[in-house]
Amino acid sequence: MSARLARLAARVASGEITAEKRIRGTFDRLMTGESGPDRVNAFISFDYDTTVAQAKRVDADPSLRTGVLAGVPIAVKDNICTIDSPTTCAARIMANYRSPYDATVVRRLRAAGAVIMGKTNMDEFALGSSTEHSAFGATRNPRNLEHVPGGSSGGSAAAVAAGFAEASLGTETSGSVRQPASFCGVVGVRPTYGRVSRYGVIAFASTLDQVGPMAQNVEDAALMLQVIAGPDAYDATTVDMEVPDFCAHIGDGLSGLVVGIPREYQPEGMDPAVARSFAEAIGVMRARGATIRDVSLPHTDLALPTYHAIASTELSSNLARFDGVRFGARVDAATPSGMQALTRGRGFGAETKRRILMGTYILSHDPALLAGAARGRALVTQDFLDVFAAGIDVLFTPTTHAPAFKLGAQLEPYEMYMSDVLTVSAALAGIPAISIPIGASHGLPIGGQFMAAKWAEPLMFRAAAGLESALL
Amino acid sequence: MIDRAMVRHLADAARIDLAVEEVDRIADQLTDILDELGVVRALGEADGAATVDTVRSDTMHEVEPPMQPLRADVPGADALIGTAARFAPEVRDGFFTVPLLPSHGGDPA
Amino acid sequence: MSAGDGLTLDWEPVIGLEIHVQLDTATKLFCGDAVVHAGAPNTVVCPVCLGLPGALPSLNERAVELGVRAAALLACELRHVSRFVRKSYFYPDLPKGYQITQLDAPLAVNGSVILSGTGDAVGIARVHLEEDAGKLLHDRVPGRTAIDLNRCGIPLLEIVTDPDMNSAADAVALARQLRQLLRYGGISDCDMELGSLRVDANVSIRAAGSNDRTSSRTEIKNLNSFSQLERAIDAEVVRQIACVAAGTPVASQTLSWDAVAHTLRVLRTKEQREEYRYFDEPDLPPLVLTPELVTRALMDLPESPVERASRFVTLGLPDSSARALAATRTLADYFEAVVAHGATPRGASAWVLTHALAWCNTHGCGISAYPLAPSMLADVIARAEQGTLTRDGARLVVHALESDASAGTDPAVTMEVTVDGIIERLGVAEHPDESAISDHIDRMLADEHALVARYRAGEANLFGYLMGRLMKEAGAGADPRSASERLRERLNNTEER
Repeated sequence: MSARLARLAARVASGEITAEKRIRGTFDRLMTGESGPDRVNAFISFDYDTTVAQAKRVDADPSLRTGVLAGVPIAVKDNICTIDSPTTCAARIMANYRSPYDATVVRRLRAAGAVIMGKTNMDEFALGSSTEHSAFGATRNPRNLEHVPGGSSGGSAAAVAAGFAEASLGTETSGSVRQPASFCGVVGVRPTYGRVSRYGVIAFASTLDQVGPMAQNVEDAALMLQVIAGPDAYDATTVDMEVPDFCAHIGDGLSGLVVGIPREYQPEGMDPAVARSFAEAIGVMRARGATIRDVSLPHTDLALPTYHAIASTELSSNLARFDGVRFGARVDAATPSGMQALTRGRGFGAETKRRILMGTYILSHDPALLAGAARGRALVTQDFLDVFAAGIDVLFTPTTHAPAFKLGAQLEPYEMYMSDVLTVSAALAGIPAISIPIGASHGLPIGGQFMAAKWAEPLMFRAAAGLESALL
Repeated sequence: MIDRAMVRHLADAARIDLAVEEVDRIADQLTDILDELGVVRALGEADGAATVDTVRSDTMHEVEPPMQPLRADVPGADALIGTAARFAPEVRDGFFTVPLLPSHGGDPA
Repeated sequence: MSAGDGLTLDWEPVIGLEIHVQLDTATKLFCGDAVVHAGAPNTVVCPVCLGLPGALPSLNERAVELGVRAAALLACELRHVSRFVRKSYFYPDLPKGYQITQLDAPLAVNGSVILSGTGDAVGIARVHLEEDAGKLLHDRVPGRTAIDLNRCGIPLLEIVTDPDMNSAADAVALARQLRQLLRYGGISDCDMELGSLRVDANVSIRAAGSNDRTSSRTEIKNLNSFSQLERAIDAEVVRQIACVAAGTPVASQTLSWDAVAHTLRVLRTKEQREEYRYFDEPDLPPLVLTPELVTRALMDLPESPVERASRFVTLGLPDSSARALAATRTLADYFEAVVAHGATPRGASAWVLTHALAWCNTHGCGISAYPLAPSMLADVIARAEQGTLTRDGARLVVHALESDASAGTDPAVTMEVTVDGIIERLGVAEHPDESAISDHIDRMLADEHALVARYRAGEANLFGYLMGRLMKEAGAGADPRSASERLRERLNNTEER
């Protein structure tokens, strides 16, 4: 099961199969899965000619043909800029936008020989956790089409789960990779903030956004991160440090690892199936030689409201550039300001408008909230520094409190709150986290999450791969 | 409490045209959400009298400020693939164009 | 202009300036696009300065260095850590919906400039970096406002003075002095016509002699020349006094100077700070000035014009000449190069300030375009001072050298030949001290008769020693070339043997 991507790339490199043939095969599956009444709707755009053209370039170029992802079909979330396809953020205001440049992560994928199958569906501007809030319709969970795939990177998770791509890129702000990975039964990674370039990734909340890979197993996800990670002169928030070999210790197993179980991450209202899978996973880890410790992250309750204040604030500023002047859709009017207001009023969805206005309010009228958010973020971050300084290697929690909910379910506020609560703290602290499948309930996958100290992805991958193989 | 006048003011500042029913709905929603964030606001108030003039909105670098990398002053911007017409809603003679500004003879309506 | 004289005596203006200069960098502040001032619209743009989705800023190191240089010239304290913020407003020339600038944590603070006319100090409140906006054109596309974003993202340095000036004349003097300093430091070319220097004035009034700081101030924008700056401030002071006299308080407004009608127009009511929704730029970590960066920035920082002028005074130049020579860095450099090539400071000063500058004025160019290399001018000056050229002759030679250069020859390459050649061509060589030199030769030949005899007997290598004796006798005023010729003539004169 592990290291599928490396094996696929090796077959292309050795000439056993051409990238073009490999891609045609995957594309046929994609076309079938994305057609008819039972379609998953994982993609906003895909185009046969564009995809095959990429594969032909790989076959023709020895350096691409021997790349670590040679001929590997990859799906990319539609808030990541690509020059050969639309980039829409699932928003009306960007419906026909074609980026004149590739995101850094896309350049790195292409340079490794990967082929981009298409752009995946998402909640508009990444605001949501179900991929239902898209201008291009909802994505359905391939494991059960009546359920959501999670979000906002729901299309990227669904594409991997459905076999439309071997791996994908999603983006995270508060859990938008890990939560859909959990719902769709795939592996999803949030890297350390500053590990992966955000250049060409349409910003939601700049201090929280990170690109994260999704794949069918931990090793593939680690390899994907290996390809996209590292400092970028185009992103001043990437950190200039050498990227370690994420796979170097991936097979070292669980023995000797100290795994912290934060008591604040077992909230009431947790689905019994999730609680059961989580307990079983802990038992498996203990049996494989891991030391399990009960730990506390006392400011966990602050994380979600802190996140909301920060994310809305940054969003309101980041979306100011969508004004109909230089790019995207426009609704014309008699004056520039009228044009801008109509363009934004008609082009943004309800959730986007509500959050922009909230951020606008905070920036102009609620300075105490912003000051409190800075304080809250520091407190949440300090919690993690404390446990990792106390000898904890990784923290282990459920990724979500319940499996994927049904499409169209009007969630109670409490449930909505719960869908982010287990993933948001890592985002605030900028630490890496990974979700892997640890069970299932009525055919719906259940995910477990490891979190590690900043820059400690190798340890995180080792723990995740150790549990993954133990659960097989 | 966010009232309708405040929502209209915010929408004006954020350049978003809202329908009447949107104003009503958003006023209620923002009021609810901002209430829920009271615990965070209390933290800020406990930290001292935060005002728009003094607040540090840098929520990121409180714990460990990294150093900003600097770019050498050597020409070499990221290239644009294709022309502006590829992505712009309105281009004429190489210019992006918008309705005439009211201060320069445009319709102030 | 309705305020009576009696009233104006009771009030005094309080003026502060906000000066924006475009920094002399090769690339923009946050992207690698070249800084250009011409070119087809939207041809020097990239995802970053167009504010396209997903683009991020990366800060230009040279812009930071130039900011540090300016801060040093303005005697500011550098902030070890400064921060960038987003200043939000919607306007078609502002691609991202915000300008990246600095607010509470600027690059440098608390500097001062001494007005050279009055000796008064003007405080420099802050110096910070920010990005320029694009240009709007309203007559290029019928019925539409056209946007050119080539200028967008060019680095600006904003210098904010304290409200320490009490007259339009002082404000103009300060602006001129800042321009001189910034040009000196190689920080900006400060060309008001090209817009690389822009001045806004903050104006309020208070009871004469009081320290009142409570009155509302107005900000005057779009001042495109020093004379507009002076006129606009004067007009605004008169208007504010008239307001107060009429019992209507001065409104806090942003005004624009109409340079054609010579009137002030209200642009807008001044924004409250919260309306800009200032917000720490999350895409740029705090800017930390490392010692290495500061050292590099200040490495070749020139003396300030004031310092340089005082040094010129110690060379024996009158104050006025010293200041005139120090006015621009290139002129002062040229003058010093002429002195370094052997001209006396006074001689060099006189020739540079009259001839060289006259030529530059006629040709509408700076001293860097002056055709005479400093060594050449120094040579001519030396000849004039030694008397081998009269002043008129020297003038003719310089004119001839200038026109040779203008004709396209390069006299610098064959300097000796050309200066000599031109003297010969013009026939202006002088032999003013023939008789004096003859007297010295007579005396030396008598004193050293034994050696003279040995020379005449064939010890030709004694010539150097005898020449040295002659020059010692004749003193520094003697022209060695003609002295040597005369000495050789006498020594070889068989009749004297």
